Amino acid sequence: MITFIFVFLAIGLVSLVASLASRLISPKIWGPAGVTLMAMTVAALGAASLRSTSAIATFNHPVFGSLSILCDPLAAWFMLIVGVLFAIGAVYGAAYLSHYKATTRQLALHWLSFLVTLAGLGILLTTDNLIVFLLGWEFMAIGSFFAVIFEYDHPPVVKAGLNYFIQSHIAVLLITIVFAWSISATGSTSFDGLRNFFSSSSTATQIVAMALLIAGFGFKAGFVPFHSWLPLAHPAAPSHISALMSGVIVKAGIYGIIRFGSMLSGAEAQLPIGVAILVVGIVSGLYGILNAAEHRDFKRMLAYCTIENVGIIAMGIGVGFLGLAQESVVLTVLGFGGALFHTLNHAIFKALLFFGAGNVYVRLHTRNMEELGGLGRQMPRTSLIFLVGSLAIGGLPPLGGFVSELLIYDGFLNGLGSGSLAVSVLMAIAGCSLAVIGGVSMLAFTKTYGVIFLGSPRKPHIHEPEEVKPAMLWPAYALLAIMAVVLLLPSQIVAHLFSVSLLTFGIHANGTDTVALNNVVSLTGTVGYAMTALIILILIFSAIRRAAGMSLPSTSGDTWGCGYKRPIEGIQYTSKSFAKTLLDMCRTFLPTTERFAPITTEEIFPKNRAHISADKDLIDDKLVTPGTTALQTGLKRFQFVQNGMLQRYIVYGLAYVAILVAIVIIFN
Amino acid sequence: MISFILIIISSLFFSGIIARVKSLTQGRRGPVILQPIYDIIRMLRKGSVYSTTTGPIFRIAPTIYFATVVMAIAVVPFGGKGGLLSFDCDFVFFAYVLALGKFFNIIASLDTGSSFEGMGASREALFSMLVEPAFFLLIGSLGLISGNTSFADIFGAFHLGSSSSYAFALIAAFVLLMICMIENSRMPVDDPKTHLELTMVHEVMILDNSGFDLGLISMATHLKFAMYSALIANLFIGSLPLAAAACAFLAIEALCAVGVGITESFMARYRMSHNAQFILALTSLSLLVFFGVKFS
Repeated sequence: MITFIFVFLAIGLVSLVASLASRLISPKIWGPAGVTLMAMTVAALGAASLRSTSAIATFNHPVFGSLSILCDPLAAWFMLIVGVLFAIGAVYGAAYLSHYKATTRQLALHWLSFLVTLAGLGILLTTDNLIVFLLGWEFMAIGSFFAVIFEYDHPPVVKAGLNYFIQSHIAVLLITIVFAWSISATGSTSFDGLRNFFSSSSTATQIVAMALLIAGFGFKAGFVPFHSWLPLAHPAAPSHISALMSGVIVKAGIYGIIRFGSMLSGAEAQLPIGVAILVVGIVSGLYGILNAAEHRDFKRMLAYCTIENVGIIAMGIGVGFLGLAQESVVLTVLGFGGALFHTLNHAIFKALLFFGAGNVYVRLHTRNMEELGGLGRQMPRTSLIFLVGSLAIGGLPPLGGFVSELLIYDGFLNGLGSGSLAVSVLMAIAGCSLAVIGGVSMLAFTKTYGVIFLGSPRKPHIHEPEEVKPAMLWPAYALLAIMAVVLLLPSQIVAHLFSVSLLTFGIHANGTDTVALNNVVSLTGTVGYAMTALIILILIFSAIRRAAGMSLPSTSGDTWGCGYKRPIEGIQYTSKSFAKTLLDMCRTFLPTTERFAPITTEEIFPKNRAHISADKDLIDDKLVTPGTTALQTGLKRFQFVQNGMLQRYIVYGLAYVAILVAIVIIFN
Repeated sequence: MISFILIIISSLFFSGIIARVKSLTQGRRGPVILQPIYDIIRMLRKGSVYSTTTGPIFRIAPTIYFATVVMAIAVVPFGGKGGLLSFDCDFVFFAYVLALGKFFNIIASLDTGSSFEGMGASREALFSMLVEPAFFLLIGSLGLISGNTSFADIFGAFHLGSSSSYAFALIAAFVLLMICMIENSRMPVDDPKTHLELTMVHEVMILDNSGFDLGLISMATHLKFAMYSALIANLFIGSLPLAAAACAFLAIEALCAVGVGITESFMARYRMSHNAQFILALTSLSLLVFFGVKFS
């Protein structure tokens, strides 16, 4: 095991050195190679520690005391996801970036920040020290910031990047407050110190501290109302970074909530936290998917869909906490197991969708799906990739997302019957919400897939698009292969995640609980068979269809235009019109600006007119932007301090020293 | 197995009974009961016309749609006896498998590049989304009675005896019948016999399908009718002996078909904008069952 960490560090160092000497080796080579190797080490470490905690190294630090590098099964699960997806993402990124005219310096910065992000994730997952955790978190935040602003010569990209940077540091601030609170209370910087802090504190203290942590990690995870950076940063970042941010980096927030949430003690604290996370999950899920149905920038649409899926994961976590509060082992394990499984599934299919989106973007140079259409004909493989991703993200069988959503549904159904009426009603609302989310998700993804890949092009192409080169398809095929493995082994994965949940929360399952859990595991096995049966059934009917089609005549003609013989591309349904009925029902939550002059009754021969509409984000519009504007106007009053006059700065220094001296004199 | 066979048998007569009831109320004799099946056989033997705009999605979608309906039928139980497949939370599987078929139907209609079919697809996606919570809440609440989550256990434990159980059964039967009508795009929300594409939902989605594919889609529609009615039948046959249960099952299927026919004869289609409210009202009925179960 120790060798792993050495390899892990060595590759990181080699890549760092290489980056400094990038005049010798092109970053096009050391970048992807370094990230892939390091990511594979992370994945290997994760795979090796899946069943039992592996302690890699322990050393004494003069300030922090005893520091351990270790990987317990919970961290290992995230390590595995991080490692595998970063490796695949790096391979895709190498091919993706070859479409940019980037300087060596730009590429070197990009790959270096990629490495720093991965190193940060590796550090925060393998530590048991609060300060080292924050250090890793900071590495990840800064690294991913630089990775996002790859096109730093475009002002909107930098603006989105800075937005992300600032929001992720508000998150750091919130987390640091709790850590500092705990460290000052217990004097220990280790995770155990925080655990003691939680167990020795009053319920109110626990709830406040955990709420701060949830808010802090919620910024990273993209919980509503802390999500507003996601829809800005994802379209701005290159597609492989969007894929990893959405699929993996966001999950660091989930890890934080599960890791530190497991330290809560007492049902009085767990119950309100569980309710809060469940409600946040419901709100995030519905808000995310409704916005996904609305937005026409397909990368922004995928970003909103991430918010939705994180909401589903949060629902699972909320169910888990409610299970802990009710001392129901089955409910706890169903909730957390479902959440962890969905974390994997979402990581895979979100990366798949962003790869597909990236392929479209490098060929068409637009993110506005209203300008696209019929791409399935020129880019059949990308179309297939996007189709599978769209099916999977809706949780439709026969793909893995169904099993994880089924576990969460099972949790809701279990929760319906147990506990107080309030909890039961909340579970019913959550179950209905998940059903609605599934339905809207189908609408949002049929829209996105249909508008981009089906029908006829809505705008003439400047260059006739063609399929991307194989290097941009193979990473997606690798993800499809992983999906197939998940499809074949659902019960093994679920059994493993159940034991991880039991271990993380220190629960001992008694006889009846074990039987109930085994039933759920065998249930997922049965569901796996049912899904396989579905695939076989589809294949059989396809074979029959094909055999029948052989003997039948088949002709081709125009699309039936109801007697109208001159159809044009412009009459096709667009993304906007497809979702309009639903969105008009939810306008309160989905503000848009529209500018157009309605046709009056006097205007017998209507003149040419334009209709301009822009999609907005309610919370960005009503909460974040006014907040930052108010902050700016407030801070402008202090602008006189920063006046560029050296004399004044010397006076500030003197004044500062004088105040310090005064304080010392007064308080002594 | 029993339910699978019985559903297939009743699907042969279902649409025929609806058509016969409708024509009787209009004072006509109407076609023979098996006419819809003769139509399907005719379509299955015909060639197809494909639009030049369409691609492989359009060709594969009807097959997948049909396969998902068959798969969903395999999950439907016969009273307390499971269907071909029976497991916990199989009703979630049931709903999601049907959603898979709908997904392909919707993207197939977008593949044609027609404005009408896009419109139908948009409406179909919206209405089926609105139905979801009613279905989940209803079956979840019925599951609360016995604490089980599989169709077979839910219906097996549902006994008609107390006055509250009759109330639940009636509300549940009504909600399921309405879901059946909405999912099959029938009268209150959609008029299959409309002659204007702008007013259609499901029919306009499949404007471009022809021949074998159209046959598959029509067959799937008949199967779906019989499938939802089988769920209604299951509410009432839980404790009957096998032979009686089978007869009751077929009788309830026929009754559902008559009910659909009568509804279609005496009701006008709602305005499109009112459909959403109507469908959401079903969720509140399901909520009634939920609170009823919770407090009884």
